[in-house]
Amino acid sequence: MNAYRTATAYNFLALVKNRLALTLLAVLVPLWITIAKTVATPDSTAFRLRATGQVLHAGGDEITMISGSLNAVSLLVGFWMFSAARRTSDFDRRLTAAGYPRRALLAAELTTLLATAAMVSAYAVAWMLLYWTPRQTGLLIFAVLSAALIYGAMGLFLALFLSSEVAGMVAIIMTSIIDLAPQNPVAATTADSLLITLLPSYGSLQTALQAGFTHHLTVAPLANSLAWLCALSAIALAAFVRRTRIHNVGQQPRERPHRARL
Amino acid sequence: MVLTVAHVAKSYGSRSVLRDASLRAEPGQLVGVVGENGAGKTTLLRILSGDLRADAGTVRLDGTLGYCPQHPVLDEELTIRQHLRLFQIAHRLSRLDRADNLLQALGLAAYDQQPVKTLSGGTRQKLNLVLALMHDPEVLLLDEPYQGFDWDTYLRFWDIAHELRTAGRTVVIVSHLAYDTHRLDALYRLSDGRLHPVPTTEAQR
Repeated sequence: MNAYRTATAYNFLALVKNRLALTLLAVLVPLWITIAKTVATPDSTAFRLRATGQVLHAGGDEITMISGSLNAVSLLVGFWMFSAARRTSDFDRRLTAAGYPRRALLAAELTTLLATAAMVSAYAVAWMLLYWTPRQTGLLIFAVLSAALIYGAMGLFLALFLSSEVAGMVAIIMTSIIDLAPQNPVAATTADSLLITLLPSYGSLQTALQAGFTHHLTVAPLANSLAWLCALSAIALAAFVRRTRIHNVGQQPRERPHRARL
Repeated sequence: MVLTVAHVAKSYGSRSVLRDASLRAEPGQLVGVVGENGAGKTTLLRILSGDLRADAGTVRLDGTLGYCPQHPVLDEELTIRQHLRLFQIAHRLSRLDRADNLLQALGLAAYDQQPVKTLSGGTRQKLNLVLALMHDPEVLLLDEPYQGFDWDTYLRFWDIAHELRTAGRTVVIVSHLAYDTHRLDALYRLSDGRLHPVPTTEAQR
């Protein structure tokens, strides 16, 4: 418990020292949401909610705000977790080799991901609420949180292969664009491809649209989010276990001789 | 014997780095391993520490291990004190007296609350060394431990090494320089993937 608490506390201390991520959080999220609300057309647009087949009508600005906030939150949490995982990769290995409980480090990593995603999601939804009242606020927070968690796990996943911060950021930005652009209901009101339902943010966007413009909840799209989250987390955790594995060298404890003076 | 390495071999693809490396170290011995750049010194130490699996051969280690990697492996965002706290948990130490004494001995105490990213290369290397020594291990594996040290710290390092020897600890020091080998009890030269015993007085010639 002590090992878990200490590792978690130090993870958060290191996170809040990431000035670039904090600046992006403070500036990017409100900027993106404000631009979406003020620049996109408020005219009502008809689009088909792919999760249910239902045709909905909503302002283009509100749809763009939802899509934009998912985009901003994904980029931010993905980059934050990538940056943290890349920084501590070798150090975690040294710590576990010295005897630090691996489970405590793993639990601390997951706690950091969950808390960061929850904090960023709540912040983004708070900014949206300044401009707009969704039908189901709680569900909207949950939808944004699911996107944040998926991209946070993706950050941990990408840190396994990419060594520089710039490479990680570019990879996360490109993935997010490829993921969200084809799903935008304003840009593709009738697009209906199986491929779209497989994209990482499909579940989050469908749930967010339901939260914004309906009083219903269809949970099927969230199965997609859960699958992405589980797959990326499982790979990242398996890689952590593999990376921190120590090969047996026939070590045998014995009675210690007297202590060195230092 | 506290450390016995027998017929260890390791290849990276088709490149054979270690062919038949053998070494024995007793309690209270300072053992040096020298070799040219790329001779396989770090590979050998990584195998001894359990960081890397050998393709063949055996390594037997009796007692606790301390490993100081060649390049400081630290968390840039954490302070020296926070590093000590994490390794106190890792080594299950009730107190940090020994770590504090090492900080004093190496002139690190003044930087106690500073994040690693603000420290110089030599100061990071000192912390790297303290983390390997703070639990008073029976066997110490040190990979180029004094690179970046100033002259006074270099001399202080040897004082600490001799105190460890007096206390019965085994210290294996790997270096690309066969310098100050008269301070060692045993010396091996790593070449052609094998460890060749060398008299400690001859290595500098």
